[in-house]
Amino acid sequence: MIVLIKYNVLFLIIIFISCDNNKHIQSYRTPKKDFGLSLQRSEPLNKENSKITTNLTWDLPKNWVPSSGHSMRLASFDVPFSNGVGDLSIVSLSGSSGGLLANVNRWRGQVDLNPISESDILTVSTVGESKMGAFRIFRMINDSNAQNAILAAVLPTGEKTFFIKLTASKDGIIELQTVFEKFCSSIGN
Amino acid sequence: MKDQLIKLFSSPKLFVYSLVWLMILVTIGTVSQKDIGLYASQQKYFSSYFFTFGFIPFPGGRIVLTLMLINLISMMFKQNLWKMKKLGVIVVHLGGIMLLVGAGLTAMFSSEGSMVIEEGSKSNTVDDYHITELAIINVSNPNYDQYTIFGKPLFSSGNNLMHENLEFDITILDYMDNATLETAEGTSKVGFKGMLSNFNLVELDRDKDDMKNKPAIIFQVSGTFSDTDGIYGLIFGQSVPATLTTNSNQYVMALQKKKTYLPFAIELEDFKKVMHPGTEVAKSYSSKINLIENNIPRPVLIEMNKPLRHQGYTFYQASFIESPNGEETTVLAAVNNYGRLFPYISSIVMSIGLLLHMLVSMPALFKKKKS
Repeated sequence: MIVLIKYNVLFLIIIFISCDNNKHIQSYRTPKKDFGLSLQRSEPLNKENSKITTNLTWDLPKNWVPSSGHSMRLASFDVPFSNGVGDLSIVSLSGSSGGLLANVNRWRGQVDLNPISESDILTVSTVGESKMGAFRIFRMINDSNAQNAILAAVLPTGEKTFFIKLTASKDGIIELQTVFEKFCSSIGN
Repeated sequence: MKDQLIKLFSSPKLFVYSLVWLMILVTIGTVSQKDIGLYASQQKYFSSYFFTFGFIPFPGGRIVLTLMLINLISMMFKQNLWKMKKLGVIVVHLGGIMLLVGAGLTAMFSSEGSMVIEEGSKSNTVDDYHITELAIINVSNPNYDQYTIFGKPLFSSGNNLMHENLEFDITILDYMDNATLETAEGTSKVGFKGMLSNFNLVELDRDKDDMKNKPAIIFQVSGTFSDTDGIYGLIFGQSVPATLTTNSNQYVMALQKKKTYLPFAIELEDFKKVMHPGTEVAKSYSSKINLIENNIPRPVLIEMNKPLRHQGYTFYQASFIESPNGEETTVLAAVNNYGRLFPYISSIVMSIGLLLHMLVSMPALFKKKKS
């Protein structure tokens, strides 16, 4: 009987030691997946979907007022928020228009933020989806320069890249971010 | 000493004390759910071998149930048990052993997670609800992605992670069960790479609802002897993938819920929901799916109380997501429980045992009455 009990205990110990199915290191292969890395470059997302157009359509929020802007702008709007009015512009430029990094660092410079590197582009932005394809949103807020902040979306579509830029105070940008993203998502042609 | 130990393990008193302690554990675990949440309470009191109150260690659910199993098995080896009149008792003990073995199988091998499928697309992966893993994915090969996965038990500070697939070493600096990102403007970020060059990861108190926790990890990459070496951070659910480039390969890094790849795929053909009249509350919803195995699709309808059972997995209709433009996505709860049938079988066995014991004891009872 003693022998049997010994085996019984030993058996249970072995079961419980060997039962750890949580393999802590694993390695496997899967079919290719799109991790959105193509958005790191400001090249066209998909040539088949590329469209050359300036006849844009969008769902305009009720309180946004069309305004006169620079001649380069496709459209301009006064965008009211709780404590002021922001300025929204839509610009289209051919190709990658100097590259995503150069544009982002130019905007960062406008609000006194330090430039970032190519590898950091993905980490300071979020991705959205419009009727014309994916776009990337950059929020540039400098706590020591609360009166000037920028929210910008970059929408590459084949031979043209669209830039939607909202300039307002820090509070305004925070308040308007959701409606801005919705507006960008509605852009189509 | 040896005899005493054997006597202790096969003593019915051990079983009774274990049962009392289990009751106490159930009470403590239930009460503590209020403060630490269901999952944390379950992990602390029931899925642990030991837990501590202050500095004092107490036996957790697993050690108690293991002792009960050892005790029941030991009882089976007692010579005076193997008699005809104790047939019912033997069967009841066997039922108890089956119940505990089933509990062990469930504790060790079961998994539960979710499968999220958009209408028109298919999936063969289940994301665990709770277990986190660090995935380093080599995306350089045009034909496949090479995953190297490190599990959460390896995330203790100072731990070095290496693998033959990786050209660099990883040293864990910090792991947080719940964290958030804060902008790092104005702070020195020398040596920090990727997301951490612009953001700080700040630890938060663990939420009672484990699904709301966003785990994060900070680690050092070394060995590439290039600008890629540095300190990286990842947070669960980050919208932008973190990348790392060496001389010959590009990697994507993610802190994700443990993924299980199934030997079959599920394609969502149509998702339907019925609302309570005049409300936005769903009355019922169902997923019309194709179960694809060996490239052969089989249509199946999964409804709220009609799960799909296949290859040990049970897929329940758990939830759905509806995008503003009307696109529908189904959320299936996928449960894999090898011990699922044990409670049913052991209950039947124990019932039979009790019945046998009653039948065997009946003549003796009648005799007593007559006398």
